[in-house]
Parts: sequence; C-alpha cells; structure tokens
Amino acid sequence: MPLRVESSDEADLRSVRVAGDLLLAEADELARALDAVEGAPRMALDLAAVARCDGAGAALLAGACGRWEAGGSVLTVMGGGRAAALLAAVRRRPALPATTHGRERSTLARLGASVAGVGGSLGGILADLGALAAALPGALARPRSAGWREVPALVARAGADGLAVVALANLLVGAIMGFQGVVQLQGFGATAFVPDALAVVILREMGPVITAVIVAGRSGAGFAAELGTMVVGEEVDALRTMGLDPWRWLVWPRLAALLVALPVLTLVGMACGLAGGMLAALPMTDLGVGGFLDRLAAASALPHFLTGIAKPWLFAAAIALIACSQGLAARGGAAAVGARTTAAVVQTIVAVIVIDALCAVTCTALGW
Amino acid sequence: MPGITIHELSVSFGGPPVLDRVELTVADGELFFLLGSSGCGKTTLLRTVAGFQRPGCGSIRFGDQDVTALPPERRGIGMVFQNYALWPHLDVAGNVGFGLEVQGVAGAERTRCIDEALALVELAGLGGRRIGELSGGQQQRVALARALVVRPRLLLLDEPLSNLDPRLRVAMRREIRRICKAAGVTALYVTHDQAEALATADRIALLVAGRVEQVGTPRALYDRPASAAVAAFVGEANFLDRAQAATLAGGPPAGERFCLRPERVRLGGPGLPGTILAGSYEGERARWRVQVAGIELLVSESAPPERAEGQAVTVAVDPADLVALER
Repeated sequence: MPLRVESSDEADLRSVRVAGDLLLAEADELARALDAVEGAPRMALDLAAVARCDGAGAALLAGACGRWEAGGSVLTVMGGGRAAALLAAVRRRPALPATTHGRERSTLARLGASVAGVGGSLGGILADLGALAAALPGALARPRSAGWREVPALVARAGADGLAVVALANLLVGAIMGFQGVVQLQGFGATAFVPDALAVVILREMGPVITAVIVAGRSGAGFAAELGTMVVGEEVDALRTMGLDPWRWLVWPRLAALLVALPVLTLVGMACGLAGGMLAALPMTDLGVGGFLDRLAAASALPHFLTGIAKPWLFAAAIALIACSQGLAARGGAAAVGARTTAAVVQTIVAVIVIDALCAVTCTALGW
Repeated sequence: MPGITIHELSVSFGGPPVLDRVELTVADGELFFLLGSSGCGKTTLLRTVAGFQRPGCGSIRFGDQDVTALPPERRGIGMVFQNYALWPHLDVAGNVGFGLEVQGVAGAERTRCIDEALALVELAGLGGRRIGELSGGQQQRVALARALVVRPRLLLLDEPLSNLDPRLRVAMRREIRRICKAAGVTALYVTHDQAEALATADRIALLVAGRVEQVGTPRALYDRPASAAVAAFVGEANFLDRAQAATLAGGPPAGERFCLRPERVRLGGPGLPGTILAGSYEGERARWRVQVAGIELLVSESAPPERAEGQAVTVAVDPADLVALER
C-alpha cells in the first residue's frame, strides 16, 4: 500500500496522518516526508491508516516525534495498533549508552581488561572446586544419586581406548630421548649413563606428562563436548528436574574414571618410554639388555618412579575438573560447545604443564 | 497437588529487568499458559519457577511451601523441553523410568508405573524402542511421560510443540490438555503461539516486556482485551479512537480507544457505504481491507461471497462489539 504523510491544521492542533506501509523499503520516502512536517505547539500523530509497519518505520516515526517534542510540541499518538505499539516500544527504549563493545580498544585497555578478568576466572575455578567438593558427601552417602555405574564405561573409554596412542607416543618420545642421550653423551664417552638419564626423564617427567597431555586432548575434549552438548540440549536441566545434581551425576564419575585410568595409562606410558629409549640406545652402545637394566636399577629409578606415578592423580583431577566445568558452562548453541571444547583442551594441557612444573620445584626443594 | 503463587518476582541479567515485579497465581490442577512474543520473559519466568534462574527479588510458592531458594532438583517438578531433551542412549522405557530409578523405585512397581505413563500418552507397547526410531510427536509424548511418571507437584512445558509440523501441533494440543487433565497435574505452559494458547489453556497470562499485561481465560483475553498490546497479540484487531468509533457505531461505550475484532464487522445489509480496498480469500473465510467514512478496517468474513477490489459495500458495526481499552 502506498505511503502517505499528510499534515493539516485545525485551530492550534496540527494533525499528521500517516497511511500505507511504513517498511524498510519505504524508509527514504518516509524520512523525507516526516522531515517536511514542522513541529507545532499541539500535535496529533494519527497512525490509524497504517497498513504495515516494521522497525525501520517505527524508528523513523520515533525520530520525528523526538524532534517535534524537542521543539516544544505536545504530541498525542492515535490509532494504529501495531504501528503505535512499535512506536511506543522504540520510544520507551532508553538511548543505548556509548559502549566500547565490539569496537577497537587500545592495547592498554585490553591488557587492563584481561588482568581485571583474572580475579573472575580464579573465582570461577574456586567456585567449581567448591561445587565439586560439596557434591562429594552426597555422592558417597547416596550412591544412587551419583552416576557411579557409568564409571567402568568411562574408564574403558578414557583408558583402554587411549592405550594404543599413549603407548605409541611414549615409545617414540622414549626412543628420541634414548637416541639424543647417546648422541650427547658419546662426546664425553659416557654412553653408559644413558639409562640413568632415561630413568629421570621418562619416569619422572616425560611419561606422566606425555600421557596426561594425550588424555587431556582425548578425554578432556570428550568430557567438555559431551557435557556441553547435554547442557545445550537441556538434558542437564532435565536431570536436575529429576532431582539429580550434575556435579554428582556427571562430574564425579568422570573424575573417578580419570583417577583410575590415568595412573594405569601412565604406568604403560613409562614402560613404553623406557622400552623405546632402550631400543634406540642399545644398537648404539655396548651395554646390552642386561647391562642396560642393571644401570636402570642402579640409577635409583625407584624414587623417580614414585614421583612420576604420584603426579597422574593431580593431572587427572585437574583435567576432569576443568573439562567438566567448561562443558557445564556452555550456553547457547552448538558453537558454544565447540568453543568450550577448545578452551577445555587448551586449559587442561596448560594445567598439566603448570602442575608438573610446580611438582618439579617442590620435589627438588624437598629432596625427593 | 498445590498451585503456584508468584509474588513481586523480578529477574535481571545485568541490564534492564527481564521480569519486572511479576504477580501470578495458578490454581491447583490448572493448565496455565504464559503467552508472549519472543523476548518478553516468558521462558525466563518458567526457568525461574523451575529453579534454573535465581530471581533478583520476589518469591515463588508451591502451595504453602516457599521454594524460592530451593534448587531445581528439590522442587518436585516435571519439565518438558522444547527439544525434548531425551537421553538418546536409553530406550523409551529407560527414559520414562529414569526418574523412578533415581527415586529408588524398583522391580515390578517401576515397570507398572512406566506402563501406566506410556498408556497415558498412548505409547503402550513401545517401551523397547530406541529414541532415534520415534517421530517428533512420539518423542514429545515420551518426554511428557517421563515428566509425569514421577508424579511431580508441577509440570512445566517450555514451547513443547514448536519443533512439530503444524498438523501434528494441532493434534498434540488436545493431547497435552487431555494428558494434563487425566494426570490432574498443575501445569505451566510457555508458548508464543496465541492459537495454541487459546485452544488449550484454562487461563492465560500475556507477558509484554517482562510484565504481566493481562491474565484471564482465553475468551476473556480475546473478547475483553485490557490493552492494545493484548488485542494486537491475541487475534487481530482494528483500533479506533472515540471519534472513529462514534462514526462507525453511533453511540460507542465509555472510553477513549476501542478495539474492534475483524469478524465483528458485518458487510452487506443496512450500514454505512464503503469500498473494498484489498482482500485475500482463504477458503472458509476471507479478509478484506475496507475503507468506510475515511477509516480503514480489517474485516474477516466467514463463508464469504464473491467480492472484488474497488467494489462498493455496506459496513455495519454493533456498538456492543466495541471493546474499550484501558491502556
């Protein structure tokens, strides 16, 4: 329907009659027509004959009303259900404050914002830890309210299914360490100490860390994606309406599964790492299998092993907590699940390395 | 089973309030609808009643119990979600029986409850099916059965039919009403579909911008809208000022603004001369845009005779059909 804007004066009242379609397509025309109407002390805007009106039309009307009122007009809006309602809605809306959101911010401002955000994320981690701890008594006292039955399947998925890749990665890392050890120590004629080096590197550091990083990538991503999908699909809400706390039902079983699976995987990883190192070193040295194993035993491998096998529990707790809380924090659609999964992988790997560094410093200080 | 009393409830996500001092009372056993356009706060209200959202202030009572501070898992509710939120790794019986399992109901008793719930939603015998093998309508029935099997104090439905095709949606409206009444449960139902609300509800609350605009039976909302927003959202309406109403209907009732439903305008017979500006024929009825005495009216005519654009027509409006709007 064609757009018409007519203005007529009766006594001291100026009536502005708008008719037809006030749509985006007619916005130019409407803006010109409204601009042509001068303000008057008393005005009536009649929208009864508006056929259709969209946001653009309502915004232009609101602009005109604002201009007239700023000029001192007393304005009455009459008729026109949807157009009037839209106009009222647009006019009720307060002017948006100037915001820096989405705009370029200076490097300093970004740095400031990220520093200011650290407190929040630390608070978030503490809150998650608190929720996790708070959920434990209930999960133990009322085992039916926690998903313990899921644990064997989760152990199988995190552990058994990851066995091959953990073994392979550790074997290769061990081989590289063995090879580099021989190459470096040859210059000093000290290839006999390669097993000592391997014992420290594989048992204490590389075995646990490589295994944890692989599990962070596999199970961390898996937990975050799985829980995120459940949140976005309202399945977690459905669980809660049935009386189940997601920390008890979803998070603790995953944490428990990793607490079982990761140390076992680490054992396998250590064995494979040592085997790899030995395979690489034996042909290049004259130690022989027996000699190699003797040196390993003599290199006080036990303390290294004990330190190495204590760390996976810390890694497992960190991976499960971070991945699950990332998953539970997903909001919105599938895109949120992807973003949370990425964040979970990055954060779990960083957490593994940070924990390992702290352990290294602590163990050295304690002389372990 | 108790009703719900919502008092002075406000929710805000850091900006202007999403819910602004909402006051509602839902009677025991009532099928109560929250109706509104997207962004009006109806889903937030439902999620606040469920306990997923903490209110900024105000209180929610189920019967005599104040549940405002309780988490959802302790409110005793059943909820049906827009995308059903069924567990894909469980079969139909597993989904329906899950809540019972959590409550420790076991063995024959559980089987009996599951069978009863499946019979209620007319899915008897499909307990062994996998969720992926069911149609959308069947999945929603499973979701209903899952929510009802634990005998919740309150059933919450969040746009349960929006993922179904239109024909199925109409059939499921009747089904949901039948199931809720058969289960005797108090139900709070969120939708943006006014036809769904009119056809299914005992009472409706229309929400506009986080506030309750009007509460009433479907007939009250349609026949006596309190405001232009209600009249425009529930059905279609012509809006007239006093002068226009006087022109069309002689002596209008008291009031400044009036709502006139399109089907209340009579074409043909004694009345004012007018012209058909435009029209659309829809089979059992036709909708015309009619110009009469300088006023454009939307007219809905059932069993419509042949009419052409530009044709002269007489228009009559009964003053009793003019509804004065309070706002």
